[in-house]
Amino acid sequence: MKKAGRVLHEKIGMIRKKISWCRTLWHFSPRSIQMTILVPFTIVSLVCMLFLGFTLYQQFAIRSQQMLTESTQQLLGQTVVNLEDYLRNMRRISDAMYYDVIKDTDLSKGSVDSEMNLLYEANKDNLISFALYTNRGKLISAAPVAVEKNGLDVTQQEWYSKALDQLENLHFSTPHVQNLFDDPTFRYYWVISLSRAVELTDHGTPTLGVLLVDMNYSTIEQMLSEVNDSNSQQYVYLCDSSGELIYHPRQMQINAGLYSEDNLQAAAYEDGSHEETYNGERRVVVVDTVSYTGWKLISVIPMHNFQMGLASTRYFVIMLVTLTLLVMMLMNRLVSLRVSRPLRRLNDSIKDMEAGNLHPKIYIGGSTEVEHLGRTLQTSLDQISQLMKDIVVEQEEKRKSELDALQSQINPHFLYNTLDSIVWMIEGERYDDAVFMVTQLASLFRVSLSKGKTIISIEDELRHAENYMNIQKIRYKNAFSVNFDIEPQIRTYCTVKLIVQPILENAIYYGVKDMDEDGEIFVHGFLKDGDIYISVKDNGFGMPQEEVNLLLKDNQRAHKHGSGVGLINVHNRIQLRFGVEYGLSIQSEPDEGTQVIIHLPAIPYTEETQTLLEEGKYQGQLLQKTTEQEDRKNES
Amino acid sequence: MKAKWRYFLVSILLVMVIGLSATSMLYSGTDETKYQISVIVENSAGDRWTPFEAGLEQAAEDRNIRLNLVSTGEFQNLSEERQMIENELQSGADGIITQLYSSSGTADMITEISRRAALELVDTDADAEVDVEGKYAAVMPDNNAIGRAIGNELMINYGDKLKGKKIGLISGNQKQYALQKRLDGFISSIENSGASVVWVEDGSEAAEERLEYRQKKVHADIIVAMENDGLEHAVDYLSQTKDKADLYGEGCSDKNVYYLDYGTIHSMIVPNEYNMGYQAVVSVADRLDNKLTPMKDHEISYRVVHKDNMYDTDNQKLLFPIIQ
Repeated sequence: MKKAGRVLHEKIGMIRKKISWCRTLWHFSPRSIQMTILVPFTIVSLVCMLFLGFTLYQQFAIRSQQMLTESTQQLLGQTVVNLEDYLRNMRRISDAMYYDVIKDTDLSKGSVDSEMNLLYEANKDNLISFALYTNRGKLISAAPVAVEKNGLDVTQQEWYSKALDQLENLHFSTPHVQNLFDDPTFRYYWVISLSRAVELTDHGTPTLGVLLVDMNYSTIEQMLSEVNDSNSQQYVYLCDSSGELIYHPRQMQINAGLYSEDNLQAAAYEDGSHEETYNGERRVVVVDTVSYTGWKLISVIPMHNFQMGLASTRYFVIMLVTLTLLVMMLMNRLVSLRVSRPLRRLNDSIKDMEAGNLHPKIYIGGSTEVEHLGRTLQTSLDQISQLMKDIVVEQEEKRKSELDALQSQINPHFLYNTLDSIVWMIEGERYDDAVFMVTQLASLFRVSLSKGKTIISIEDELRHAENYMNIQKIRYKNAFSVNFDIEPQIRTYCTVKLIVQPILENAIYYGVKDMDEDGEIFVHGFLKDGDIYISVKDNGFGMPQEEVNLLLKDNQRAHKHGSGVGLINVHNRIQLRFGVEYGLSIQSEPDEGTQVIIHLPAIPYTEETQTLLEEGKYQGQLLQKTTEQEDRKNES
Repeated sequence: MKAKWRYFLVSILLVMVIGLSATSMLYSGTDETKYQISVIVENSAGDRWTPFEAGLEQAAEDRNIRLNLVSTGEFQNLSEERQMIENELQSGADGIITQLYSSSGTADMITEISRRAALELVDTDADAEVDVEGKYAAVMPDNNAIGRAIGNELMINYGDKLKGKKIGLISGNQKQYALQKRLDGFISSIENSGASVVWVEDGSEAAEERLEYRQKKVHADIIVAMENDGLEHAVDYLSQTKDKADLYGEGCSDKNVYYLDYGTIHSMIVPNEYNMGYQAVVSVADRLDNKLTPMKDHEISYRVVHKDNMYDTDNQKLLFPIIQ
């Protein structure tokens, strides 16, 4: 059970890891169309270029390694030819000395000195000395003429013993310091000794002797130094068939133990190129054999030498790949931009629409599909716009009808009360008062009707208010006084009709009607800060602040007196017509009185403004004007 | 915006890679020397320095170093050598390889030089302050062992007959610790042999006349030279007179090798001077390549050579260096 639980736990862990990976990939995955096109194209380009660069570099590396190995083989072959020429020349000299001079000379009768000197002089660039010894190591002749060292026993020297051991051969020694002659100038020579057994004739009797040609080692050294004269790590060295070094560019370091060479192993190689690892270093060894001597000419090419030679190529390939990648990236970007631009522009149009622009300019262009998309969107937007306009008109109609309904609430109450008062006057034979009352009522209704207009001038509205107050004063037998203080200039401005009368009605019924003392109502109209204010103030009972707060909010309150048209109706009508910044404000103190202030915009009363306000378009135009002014301000 | 920045950064990165690759491609073939090392040794034209200089030059080639072998004569005092080193430092030397004329009273000088350049002492060590950072080092043979090796040669050649023999010593410049140690090593090795040191000469000015004077005053059966120049003076003295004193010593010059071959010198200790030169440059180059690499003292080998074995394969490589 435990095991099963553990397995399940592990599986859940793996799934969680996978989900985490997917989330990470999702986080880094491109979101925009341009990036969706750009990223895969760039990745594909990168992979292709890397593959191409790597393959090219590998091919170039292999090819250059082959070429270097081949050229080394050619160089080695040429050097071997030169060496063989040199050694063949030395053998010819030895042969000439032996067959042309020594064999023809009876030492008891003549000397080989002059011929030996002649041969030496002719070849002294490559030779250190000639010497002819008897089979007991006694010097017969030498060129150049030199004094033999005291107590010297040449029979102990290797070249001598080898010559007598194998009589038929010519023997090339390894390099050594010549130990034959005394040189008071302290000079010692590194030589390669070519020795052979010769048949000497002394008193007609043939005896054995040894002919020694000491070749100047520096000639071979120079020959091979020229081959090694390069800055690369590649070098060429020469060893005999047993691997003993004859020449090595680092001979002194090898002698001092500072460097080592794999000469013993390399001497066993067949001619050709071989790969080996020596002292932890991989290298190619090219071997060629010098004929007759069996010497091995060996070229060593460390593997890192190939790398060194390829360093500039490597940088070139990196540069090429990077450059191509950069160009590909730019190309991909251009292509992706071209493909995604129409979509992005279309997207920008939609963003513009989202930002609140009701009439955005929809991009129509690009490929056929995107163009079709743009056209469809444009059509849809046009339809939406038309629908919205219809809704606005519908709403306006609805508002107007609501306004009319509010206004119509006034008439029946007031008419009933006034007619009731006139009836009582006629019954009480107060005909003059009745006539006055009817006259005032007629004027009041004229204003009320205003040919069906909702917007009238303040002049008319105030006349309507005065008519109403005149009627009420008669009804209440001048129980209160009314005082109108109106700045003349406000009379020519627009107002919604029947807004002062309901306030006066409230001032009478809730303020001054039941007062013991004389009630006073003061109506003050004035212009302030470009707006119009009409204040209706009474010295009545007033009310607490809580009640004031409810006056403009609670539309369901029961009306004890009056026409039943509450302040809230007036307030709503003003706001519906002019905007929420306008309307009524009420200040009241219990036992002090109440002041209701009507706040209206100062719109001159003309036919044009009246018509616009009636149609509810004045606000839109005002808004448009304001927006244009703000735009101009921002632009400047 | 973020994507644009990423794109811009990647582009900048690629342009940088292109620039870097192009620069590397242009400079990949060039092989400029990195450092300059000046070498100041007494009497720089002397034969004894031939293998040493070969070692220096080979190492300089291997390590791509510009080598300046300062031409010098006999040093008169340490301040003269100090002035030469100062001149080299002012000429821009990054490293100094020097054989100090004197080993004592050199602490301040070594501290001051090693602060400005990598310093390698050759042939002899010297007084110095504690060097934790390894700013300088010395490469030289085991000088005490060389002294003892000369003594051993006497013991081998004479055996019991060494008892009563008189020895004349050419001690060399005893201001150098190297020669002091050789002398100490030699004295300690023969102190129980019964031989006695009858005179000691430093072998500097008018050496042959001084040797003749010494030999006339108290004839030594054996003359021992502690260094190459002293051995050459002794060789000159013996060649010019009928004095049959046996000669031993340390040396490496062509002249001494010749007289070893000739039989005038019975036995000679030959340090591997090529190795000393090579090691000195390598040590300084390592320090210059990595300033945190402390320099370490190196000891070089030596061989005991006499007439019979001087043409042995190994000895001839040491005595007759192939200077390429």
